[in-house]
Amino acid sequence: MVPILPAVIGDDFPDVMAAAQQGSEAAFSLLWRDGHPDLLRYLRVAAPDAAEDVASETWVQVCRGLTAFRGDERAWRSWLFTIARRRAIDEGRRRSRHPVAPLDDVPHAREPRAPDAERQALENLATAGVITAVLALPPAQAEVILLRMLAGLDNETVARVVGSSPGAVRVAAHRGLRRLAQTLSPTGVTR
Amino acid sequence: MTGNGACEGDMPTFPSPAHGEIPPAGDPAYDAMLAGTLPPGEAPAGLALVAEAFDALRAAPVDSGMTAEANALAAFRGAVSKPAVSARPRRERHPLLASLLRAKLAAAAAAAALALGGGAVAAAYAGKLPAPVQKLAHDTIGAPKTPGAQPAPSAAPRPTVLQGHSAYGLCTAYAHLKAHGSAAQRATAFSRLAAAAGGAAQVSTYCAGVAHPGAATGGGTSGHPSGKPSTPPSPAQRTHPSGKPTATPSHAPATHPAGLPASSSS
Repeated sequence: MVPILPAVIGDDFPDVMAAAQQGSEAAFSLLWRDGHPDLLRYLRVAAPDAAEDVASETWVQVCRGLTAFRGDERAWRSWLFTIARRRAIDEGRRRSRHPVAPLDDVPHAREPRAPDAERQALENLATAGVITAVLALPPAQAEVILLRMLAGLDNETVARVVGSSPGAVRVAAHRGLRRLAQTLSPTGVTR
Repeated sequence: MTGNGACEGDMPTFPSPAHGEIPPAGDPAYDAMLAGTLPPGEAPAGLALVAEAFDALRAAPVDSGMTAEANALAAFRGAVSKPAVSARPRRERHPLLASLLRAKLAAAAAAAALALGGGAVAAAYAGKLPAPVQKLAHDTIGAPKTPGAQPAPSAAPRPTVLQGHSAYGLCTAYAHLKAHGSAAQRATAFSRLAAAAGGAAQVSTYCAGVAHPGAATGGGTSGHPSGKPSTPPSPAQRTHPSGKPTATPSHAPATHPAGLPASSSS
């Protein structure tokens, strides 16, 4: 299994963060390189078709607030993904108000759209299948699954990010995964 | 009913439901999957496809190219150059404290300069040091800025690998400050070191390979520079943007590209 937290800064995090807050571009670069891949993996599903844009907006907002940030690496990732999640939600609302597709009423802000270059890069069938399946989940289930499975956050951090209780997050994640398994099942159980 | 199609006898603990049977919510298999601790073979059959799909999603290449990082850095520069907007009054530092900090950093710079070796200070003023060291010197002792600090493409982003005195100085200074310095000192020293090493991940490797110049012992990086800062360290003082003693407001062109970990990490 691919490790969920492939990249962490670890022991040096306080120094890296402090240096970035003092204006060190090298240190900020480290934060970016550590956080961006997970951010993008998350946003590719949470904000399909706009992942790069939303990631970029997220970093702009991070830069604005960076000097005021206090906390450890866990708090840092929590903050990063809190911003990303809000941006992704805004993006979904914006798209539903001004749909790109020639559809007048998009029934659901997270409706899967025509694949763009970003998603065509993910040529793997299983990958495409699971993206579609996740997007078809109730949003509350989808987002906790994405934050845990792709952003690599733990249960408590996800609860903080989505403003819910750890227990509710766990239940939503279990239900969502179960539903995903049903959708992806070769026996064609659908629901 | 076990052993249908899966491994023979050594399929462990899980009751191994019939193909496609999906455990109910609350099953520990979900927690393991969410935590990423579910080994591939041990997913219940009904969850195997989901596990594989997320493995594929995580393994999918993430390549934003240099543009994304450059944009993020531009935003960073813009935000850093006007920090007054979000400055909060309660974090303003007393002037006396600020000057104390400045003194401490100067002492640290002196330690670093000593570790750099005799001619280093003169060389710094002459602008003849390798870029990261020159930047360190610029920030701490006010030596001229790195020559050619333009984002010119001709400045080939080769990873700067320092040898001998310079590398030893950076490593030693950081090791020392890590133990005795304030957070601000550590931050400054670390960012210089990371820039020289080509990334935070490279720092330990980088310093592990640096021997004391001219010492047969190859003494570790934990050595003490001879010029110990005279002021006592005070770990209580957290870093602070306005306490930034180097006073080098980053004008736009001061990008210092050669010092960046030039895509060599990751």
